[in-house]
Amino acid sequence: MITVSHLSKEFVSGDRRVQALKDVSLAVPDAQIHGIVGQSGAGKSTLVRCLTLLDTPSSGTLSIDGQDLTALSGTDLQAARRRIGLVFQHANLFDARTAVRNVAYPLEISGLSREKRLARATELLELVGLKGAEGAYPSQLSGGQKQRVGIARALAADPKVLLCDEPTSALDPSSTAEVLQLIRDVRDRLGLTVLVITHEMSVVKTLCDSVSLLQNGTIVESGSVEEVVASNGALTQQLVPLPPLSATPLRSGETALDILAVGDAVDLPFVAEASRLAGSDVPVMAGSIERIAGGRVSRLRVAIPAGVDADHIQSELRRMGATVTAPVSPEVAA
Amino acid sequence: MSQSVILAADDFFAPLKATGIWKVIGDALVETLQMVAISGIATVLIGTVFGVLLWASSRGGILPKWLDVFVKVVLSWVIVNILRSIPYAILMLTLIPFTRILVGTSLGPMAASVSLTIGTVPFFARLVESALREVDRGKLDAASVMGSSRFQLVSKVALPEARPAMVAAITTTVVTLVGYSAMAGLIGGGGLGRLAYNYGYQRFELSIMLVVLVIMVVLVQLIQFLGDRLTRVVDHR
Repeated sequence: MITVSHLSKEFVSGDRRVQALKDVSLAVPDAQIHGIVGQSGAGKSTLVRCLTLLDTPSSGTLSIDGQDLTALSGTDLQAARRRIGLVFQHANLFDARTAVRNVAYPLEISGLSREKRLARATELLELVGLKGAEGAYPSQLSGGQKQRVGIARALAADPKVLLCDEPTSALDPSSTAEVLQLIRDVRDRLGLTVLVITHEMSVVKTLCDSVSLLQNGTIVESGSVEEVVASNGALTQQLVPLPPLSATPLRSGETALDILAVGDAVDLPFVAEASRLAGSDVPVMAGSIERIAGGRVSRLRVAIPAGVDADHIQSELRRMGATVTAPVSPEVAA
Repeated sequence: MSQSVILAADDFFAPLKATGIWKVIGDALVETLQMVAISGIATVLIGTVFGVLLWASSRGGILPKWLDVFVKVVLSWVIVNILRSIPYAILMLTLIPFTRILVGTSLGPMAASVSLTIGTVPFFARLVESALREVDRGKLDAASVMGSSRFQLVSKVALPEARPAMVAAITTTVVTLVGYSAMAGLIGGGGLGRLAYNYGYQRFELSIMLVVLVIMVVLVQLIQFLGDRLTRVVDHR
């Protein structure tokens, strides 16, 4: 269980004060994968530096299984850091060390004998699917392989929490899929709590159990992926985006409605029902169906013809189990 | 006409045929190598420590506060910057009394190594500092996050990662030392510099000067070649 409570970080340079994080609170239960998403500048990097204790928060606490890590310093801090494994965007492997010695590094600095640490590192390389690459230097490995070594190294000291900072942002699509699968495997096998910081929605869709949206240094939405999607908030727009609406523009007098359905509700005939209620065909302007966190989500934008009671249709569709809203700025034909 | 040219050539090379001259040249080479080896090892040992301190202080957060202040004031400003602005020829003369106190004499390779070391340490320390600065910040962050102590950060990550640049820095420094050692030879160090001065300049035996020149060029080429080779061997980037 990792708990972040009321974490704030302020940078002061001369007269300028920049509040990079404002009152960030999070609680991730054991063996859960939690995503933190945000655009660049939202405070993701600062959050990572605070969570890894590379920077000291201005206020607030970070605790793992109830132990407050922000209060530590010196050798206690060094020991506490070993409870958090960090995976970097650019694996940050040591070029002068072979793969196996990279993985063995955390054990080397904690004083484990050479024999034991190399045996453990070899085991970990096998776990991440790199059996046989022990003697390779990082420059001889592909981006995806480097990231696997990075994950093995993060696991070496038996951490409680795996913190992944943009783990796939520098990788091609197939390496991305492999690395995400590996993070999931590792969680399943070792029961780690995983925090993934990312700007990629695909990572949230395929990997995360729960998610938080970071905006201007504060968490604006948070919850399980299903909850967050069903809430039809800012994250829903990003997780289930609608394609550009150029195909069927909205004509004057028509009203646009967004119909969001989660889980089994995806199978219900919303458009047919809307057409029946309107007494004429209701065209679909745009739509998308996504598989998110193992469940299905559909989002449809339909055009209700002029002269029909759109409010009535809205409430009827809601009764069927959809989240229905009138979009703020549907495209209107010129 | 043609006979006089032959006679001139005979005159020119005559010193090389003198009895025992090649032994003198050989001894001089050994003395030069001794000077370069002693001052080279001392420079690398002291200069690496200074270079690490300079880097750690400029990077911040690695050194304890008191050491940080010491490094900024004493090491960076007084020792490295002031020493580096003194020409070696003047430095070696200034250091003669100090050398007498330290090694008991101002003659011989050991004595010459004192001024050679003091002359090249600041230069080498700056090279080490810039070699360490080239190490990616992300790697150092990674090492910190994994719980490295300050000493481990330097000894197990920063220095090994900077190894190719360090080897190149050592090569450059040793080449510089070969040049300085010729100068140090003039005031008592002995070696090839002394030989070129005594025979070539004072006795006007230009052929000996030429031989010294060739040996120097070969020596520097050899050092550079070995240095480049070693750089490639340790470079895994």
